[in-house]
Amino acid sequence: MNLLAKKRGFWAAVMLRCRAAHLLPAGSIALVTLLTAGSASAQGTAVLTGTIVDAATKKPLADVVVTVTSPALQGEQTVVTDGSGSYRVPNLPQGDYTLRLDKDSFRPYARGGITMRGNSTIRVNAELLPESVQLKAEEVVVVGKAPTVDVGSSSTGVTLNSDFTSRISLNAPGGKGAASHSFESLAAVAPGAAADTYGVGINGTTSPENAFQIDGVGVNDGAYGILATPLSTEFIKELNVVSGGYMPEYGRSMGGIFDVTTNTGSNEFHGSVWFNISPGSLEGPRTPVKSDASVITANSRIANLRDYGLQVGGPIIKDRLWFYGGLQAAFTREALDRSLNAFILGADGKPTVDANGGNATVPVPGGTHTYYADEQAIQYIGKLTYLLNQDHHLTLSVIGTPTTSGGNGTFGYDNRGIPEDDVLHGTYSALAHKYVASASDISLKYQGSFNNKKQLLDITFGWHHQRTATLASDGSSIGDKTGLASVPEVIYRKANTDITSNPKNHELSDFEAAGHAKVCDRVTTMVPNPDFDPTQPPDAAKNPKTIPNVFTPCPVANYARGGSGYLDDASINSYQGKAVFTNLLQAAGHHVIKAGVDFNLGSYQHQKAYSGTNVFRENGSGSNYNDFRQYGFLQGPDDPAVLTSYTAKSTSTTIGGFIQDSWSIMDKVTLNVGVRYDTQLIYGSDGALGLSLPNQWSPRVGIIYDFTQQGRSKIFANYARYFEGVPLDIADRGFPGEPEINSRHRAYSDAHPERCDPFANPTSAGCTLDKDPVTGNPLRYSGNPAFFNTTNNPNQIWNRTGGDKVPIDPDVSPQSSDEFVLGGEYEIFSDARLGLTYTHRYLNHAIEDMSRDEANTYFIGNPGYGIAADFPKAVRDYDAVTAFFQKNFSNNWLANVSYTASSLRGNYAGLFRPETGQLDPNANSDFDLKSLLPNRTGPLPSDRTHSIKVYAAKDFIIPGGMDLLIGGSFRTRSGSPLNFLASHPIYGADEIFLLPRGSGGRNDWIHNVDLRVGYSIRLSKESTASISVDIFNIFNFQGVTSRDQTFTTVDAAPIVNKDGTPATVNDLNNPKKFTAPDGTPIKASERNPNFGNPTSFQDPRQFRFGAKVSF
Amino acid sequence: MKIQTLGWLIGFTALVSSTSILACSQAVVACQAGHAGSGFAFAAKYFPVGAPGAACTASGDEIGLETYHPPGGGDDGKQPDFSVPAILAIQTDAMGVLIANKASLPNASIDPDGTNVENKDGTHTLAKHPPYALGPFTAVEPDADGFCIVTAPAPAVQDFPAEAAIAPDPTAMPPDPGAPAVEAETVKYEWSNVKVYATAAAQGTQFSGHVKFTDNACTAEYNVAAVWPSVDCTARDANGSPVLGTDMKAQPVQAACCPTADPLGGRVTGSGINPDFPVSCQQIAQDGTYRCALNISDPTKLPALDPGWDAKVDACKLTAAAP
Repeated sequence: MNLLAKKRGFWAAVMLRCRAAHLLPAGSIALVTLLTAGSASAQGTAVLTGTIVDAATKKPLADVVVTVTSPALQGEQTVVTDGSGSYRVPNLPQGDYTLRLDKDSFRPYARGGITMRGNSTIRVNAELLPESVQLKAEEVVVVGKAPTVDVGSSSTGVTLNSDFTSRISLNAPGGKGAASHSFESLAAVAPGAAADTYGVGINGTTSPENAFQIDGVGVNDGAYGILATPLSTEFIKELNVVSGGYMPEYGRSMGGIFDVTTNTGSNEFHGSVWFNISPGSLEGPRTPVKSDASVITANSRIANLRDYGLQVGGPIIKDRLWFYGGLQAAFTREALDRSLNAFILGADGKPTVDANGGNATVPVPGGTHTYYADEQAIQYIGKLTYLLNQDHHLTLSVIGTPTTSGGNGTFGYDNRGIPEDDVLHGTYSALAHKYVASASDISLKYQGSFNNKKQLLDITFGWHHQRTATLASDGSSIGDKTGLASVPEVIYRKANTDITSNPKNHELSDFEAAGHAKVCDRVTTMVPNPDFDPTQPPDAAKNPKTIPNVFTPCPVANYARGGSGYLDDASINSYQGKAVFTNLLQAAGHHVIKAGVDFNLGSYQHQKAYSGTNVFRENGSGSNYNDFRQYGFLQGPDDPAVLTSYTAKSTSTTIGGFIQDSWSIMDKVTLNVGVRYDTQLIYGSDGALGLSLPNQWSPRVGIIYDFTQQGRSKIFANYARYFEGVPLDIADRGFPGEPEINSRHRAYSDAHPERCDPFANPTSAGCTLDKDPVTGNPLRYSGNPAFFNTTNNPNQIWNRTGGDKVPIDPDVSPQSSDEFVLGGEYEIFSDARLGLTYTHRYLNHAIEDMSRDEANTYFIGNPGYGIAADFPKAVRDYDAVTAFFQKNFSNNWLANVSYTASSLRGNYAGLFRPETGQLDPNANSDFDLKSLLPNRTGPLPSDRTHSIKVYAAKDFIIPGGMDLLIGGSFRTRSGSPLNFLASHPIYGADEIFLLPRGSGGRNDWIHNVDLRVGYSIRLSKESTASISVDIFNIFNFQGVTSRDQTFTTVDAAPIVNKDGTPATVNDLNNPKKFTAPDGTPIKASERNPNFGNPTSFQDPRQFRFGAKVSF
Repeated sequence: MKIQTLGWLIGFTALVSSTSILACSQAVVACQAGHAGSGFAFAAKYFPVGAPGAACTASGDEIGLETYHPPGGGDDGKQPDFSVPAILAIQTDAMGVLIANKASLPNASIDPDGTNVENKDGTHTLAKHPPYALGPFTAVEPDADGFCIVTAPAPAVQDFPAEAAIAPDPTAMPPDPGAPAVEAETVKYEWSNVKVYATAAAQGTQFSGHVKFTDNACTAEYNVAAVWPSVDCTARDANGSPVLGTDMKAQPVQAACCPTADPLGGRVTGSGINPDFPVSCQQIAQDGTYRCALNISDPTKLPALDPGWDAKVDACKLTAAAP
């Protein structure tokens, strides 16, 4: 077809439209739903396609003018059918559409109520009646609802918009980003998704492995991979969670793709104002965790959450330039109740035991104090959409989420979204910090179409910026000479109740005034004299049978006071660009060929420091203080240079490209074939290349068959390879390593006041090193036991750690996994789909740091390959079968039901360690030593055999413009696996698996039932007011969410049978098998009496009340 | 059409240009050595060169290495400068023990720091030389064979002064036995051609070199081959004292040099030496006890690499489980 003919078709369509203007769309768009701002975007990613045939001859019709309109669209979109009667309208934003077909000598055809979502491809076929055919009145064809099956892709996942988010309870208080309605928790709705410590993990992966995009800009945290911009769901038009089976357009993620499209303006002014509050006073009763009482205890609870916000969008020039803006302020307050207790000592000076089996205590008067952890999260968004003409759109959006917490007498929140400290063994000055976690994003997007929309070009430029900082709670900055940033932190480490044996044992009165209460008074008890000579007669003076011992009822272990300790300030930037070109081709069916390039230039500048340059830590006997953490390096033997702060700069350059073809073979079956290429280069602080990960070829193949050929079903299969985009934490900490130096200082005592008291006088000569007045070199006091005075050490006073670059295995391969997906969907009635999918995923290579010489030296490589060939391979096998039913919101109700049976087994959980919460992507302690690895393969911590999710909501229309909505969610899943853990001689507690992973059975099933009730009333033609209440965990289920898995705290050897049979629980009773590393049996008294007891319970019932006015 | 061509161009350029970026090999390890500061020295075996000197030859020693960086890095110039070669210090245990022994004499005036001498009366005198050899690597990164070379570090020298005899004083309470005269002693270690082996798999954990030892008139020269960390494989009792054999000498335990743990056989962890290094329990410490040292005959032919060597050694076979 030549261009001229096309043009004529276009103008013809315009004229036809004017003529047929009186024909109303067949369906009407649903009432503006209660709690949405009227929203739309000028361009999106959904595709409407179909085939038009002559109703009389059933032959395909070419040159039919296809026009789609929608309030979500700026103007209208028009294409013409090709020789096979096929049309394709791409780049449609989410919304409800009307399709109009016009051709000379045929009756015009129109149908409405076509709902486009996300980036799905909806097929609407039609038959045009020739004008010559006379219609009898009763033969008016009733057109049913448009189909909803996405026939263009084999990807799995879920698309959520305000229809869902306004009706279902989400973001339970106490979760990460709850007060600011972070969109991340929405993803937990998807089958195969589950919340983990740092977000939501998809299909057995950990949350830092996801890729988050807002309006085309990647918003992952450049250092750790978690979500950096937790945008409020109020500003979001649609969240598309793609959990697998996707084409090479998306890459560099081993988890799910979270694709967010924000709201846009429209031809009319729309907006809303809202307010929500969750009062902590209404929370249900919490089950207390029974643990060994200690002198200082703390409990946390929610005080309140509240947020206020507004958004508005509208036209600047109708159908050409729209604007949208929003602002939200959210405040979170949790209370930390701290109390002091005194043990009740028995006659032998040891704490007595109460009825529950724990230490008996009595409260210390004046010892209770409630602290608060406060967070302020502001969010703003501004957007302009500009339609150059029908074929070219431009969008500019600016988003920011500045968040601060702590300071001003309050505690802050860390990146797990919980208060930084809920144990409170120390003073506010040492434990509390002020946190800054701000992100801002700018995105400029161009979408153009050419040649009857047969060629499309999408170009996006984006800039993602973050500032994260841990500051002193009094606002002082790194390097300040005054304030808490200039005061060293001091950590005290020893206590038992027996003061006589070591006066350095600490008691409460050493640190806090409340410790002078009578209940903490020392107790002198007569204890048996260990030197009593039974062959001699007892003599009070020379051979006493008993001697006095002094005990304290208020011993304090692990106390921190002084300054803030670790401080940091980091700036992360990511400059991104992407161009995708699409070409439609007709050859043995239809081809949609896409090719694209993208780049991501990331940088991470991280300044780190310790307040007062040093953290002093007392040693086990209290005889000296060690420089526990101090940045610095040695210029020569015992020639230290202490650094006020240390700055690491890491950069990452990633370039990718892809090509794919979606081929509708003979218009019957669709074959998706594509390949993606990525390369990532990571540079360390020295500017030199740290890690090179090229040649990441990701093939993707899928096949889709719609057996109804009407867009109402599909059967599909897909294979894909996914590569990980490595976050920069590994470079920040390893290229080169953080240089630290330390030494020791003898501790102050009454007999030696010149020695070190780091709390009272950290800069005294006793706490630093004297310099020789003649040479300026450090002196070693004669008689001072030099810390590292091995006779072969060139350093006699100072020791250095870190500062060496972590070496990389020259043959290291990038981390990747493969996936197979098989499934089917069928639309059983309008807007409702039933489906079944099977997913299988496994790891190819993992990148981790390892040591082959018992923690003496480390390197980065692939476990099981290269230098680490004698390590077991990293394994993470995931299999899941999901059955689901999804009914989109229509006819005033929606439902989303899924059941997933899954198995997650292996020895590698992902980019963080669930057992400890350690977040060091690709450098966790998982594979560090071979001696850690026996028994580590089995069901991983995120494995949940059964997971059932039911979401349902119904609107009840009450005459008079009122609306009552009820939404409920019921989620239940089986428990996580339990293990038997012991201590490792080098790595310490809970690093040895005595029995194979998962031998301890499972935690209980956890049930969550939430209810949402909303009531709205129409105020005027365009505005409504509404109030709502969310009740989370309405039955206050207090399921056990974790148990004590420490079987013993002493060093023990993993139980391994030579014949390869797995060790069992019975082996723990076999003294020849359950032994310490040197072969001596573990005594019964060394078993942890708290093993198996609950250590945490579900969050109790919480309420959220909300009010909103939409106009 | 133009747009179509443009589109294809984008797609193909993407793939072609990205393939040409590839072939970036991984970063090479920087010159470093097993750190004395982590509590471990190198176990060094001495191979005598030339005519063996009589009194002052030794079979080996524990030697501590440490690396240092000058300032000048970072934006403020205060951070360590990793773009210039690091500096290596080498201290033999024998020198350190000698200094400690001299310092414990009643009439000694030695400060083992070497740079500064704190006299018993509180005054200070500068020592003449340090007890360690010190010199920079020739490059930031290892050479093509994986060696980081220090050609001629400044020697380790200690001049111990003569001490006059102290007469006994029987009238003191308790009686003072006095002290004999001590003659002046100059001890020197002159190192040359020190080569530290550093790759991603073995990070500065083997070194070789040539050393000339002088103690007053006695001289001995050796080629040295050393491995890190130094693992004590002497049979010892619960107090740490060597268990003496029938010849009243310390005894070796070969199994202590095996790189893999054998929990059932009582070996908690592996030796901590790189599993590819062939080592055996040899009497190299100067007090007659044993350390795991490289099992080689030619110290100039490093690195010593033999993956799987422990499979051929009986002592390293894992203990079978008790039935």
